[in-house]
Amino acid sequence: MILRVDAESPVPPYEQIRGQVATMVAAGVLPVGTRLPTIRQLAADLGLAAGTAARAYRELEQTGLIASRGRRGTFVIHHRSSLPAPAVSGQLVRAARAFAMEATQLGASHGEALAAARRALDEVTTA
Amino acid sequence: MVGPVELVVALLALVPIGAVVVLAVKARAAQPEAFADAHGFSLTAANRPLVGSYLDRSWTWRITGALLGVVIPFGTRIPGLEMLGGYLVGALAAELTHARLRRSAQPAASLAPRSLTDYIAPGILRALRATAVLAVALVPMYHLLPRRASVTDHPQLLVASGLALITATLVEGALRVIVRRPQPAIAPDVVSADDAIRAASIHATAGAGLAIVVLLVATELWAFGFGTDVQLIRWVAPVLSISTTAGAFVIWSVLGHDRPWRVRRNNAGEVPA
Repeated sequence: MILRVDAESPVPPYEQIRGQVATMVAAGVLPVGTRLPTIRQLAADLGLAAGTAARAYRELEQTGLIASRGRRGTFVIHHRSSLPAPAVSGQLVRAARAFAMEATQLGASHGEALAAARRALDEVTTA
Repeated sequence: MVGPVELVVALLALVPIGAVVVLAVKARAAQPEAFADAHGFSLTAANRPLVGSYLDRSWTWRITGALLGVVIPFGTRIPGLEMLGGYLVGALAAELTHARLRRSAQPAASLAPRSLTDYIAPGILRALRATAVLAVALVPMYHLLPRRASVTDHPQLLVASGLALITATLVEGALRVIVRRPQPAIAPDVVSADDAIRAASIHATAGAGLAIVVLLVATELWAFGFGTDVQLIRWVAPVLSISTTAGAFVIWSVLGHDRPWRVRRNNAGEVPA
């Protein structure tokens, strides 16, 4: 699973990390028992300060979604409340609309836009 | 008149030279296609330059390091130690100077954790630690055995054990640094090639490091044979020492060069209590 940080977003990076992990846990993409990367690894891969990743993990721990097990790592411990199907569907529609809008503005054909979407999905799910 | 001991030492001194020649020929033959096959990923237009540059760079640095070790005498009088040390430094230099993956405009990271045992068999790490412990344990054992009257002390035993401990510690530290090197999540084919490159660097470093520690144990065993008054050990220890020296070069040859390895990344499991 891939986590992405938008440097130009007004949302602080730690909040972007926290939000994405929380969504993936709620959607069941990160099930209970999933080991997460260390703070140092995540920060280095994203090119962020370790404190930023640490703050995101701390807030996720405070909400009871993840727990640190010392040297063994950080784990997803709670499948708090799975996102209800309509909520997932609603978010998916919003994301698809945003993508469709941008693809249209770029002058991409339906085929090109769908191919790009498939490639992006492959990249995200195989990583 | 050349005695049997001098003859054995002279023959052992030829081993590093032969080893460098074999390495140079063997490693030169490594091509991106073979490397990709051995590490289980597909070569693409995006990752081929990365792999090609790594293979060239690692060959140059490792061979240069090994040759400098053979040519420049550091006076350790341990056949092959300088060569292996040079190779180890060359392997680390190749890794340090290798081009890093560039982050995209929107930085991305995989949520799969990386750990050292994804890139190398845990048994090799255990062997590295156990051999270093053995190197240290041989010192008190030597002092407990009855010694020949002519031999008062063997300072090289202490030096070899200390060097073995330092080498094992530094090598394991270096392996962990290689694993921690940033890996932004860009195209999956580039990430797969980067994982294979890490595994190759880790194997080269661990192979050379383990071979050095084994060679230091062989040196200690040699000192055992000359220092002790126990007849059996006087005969067995030198034989063990020579076999262990040969073993060190086998380890280096098998582990230290682009050993096929498929990186395993998995973050599923049970939450530990």
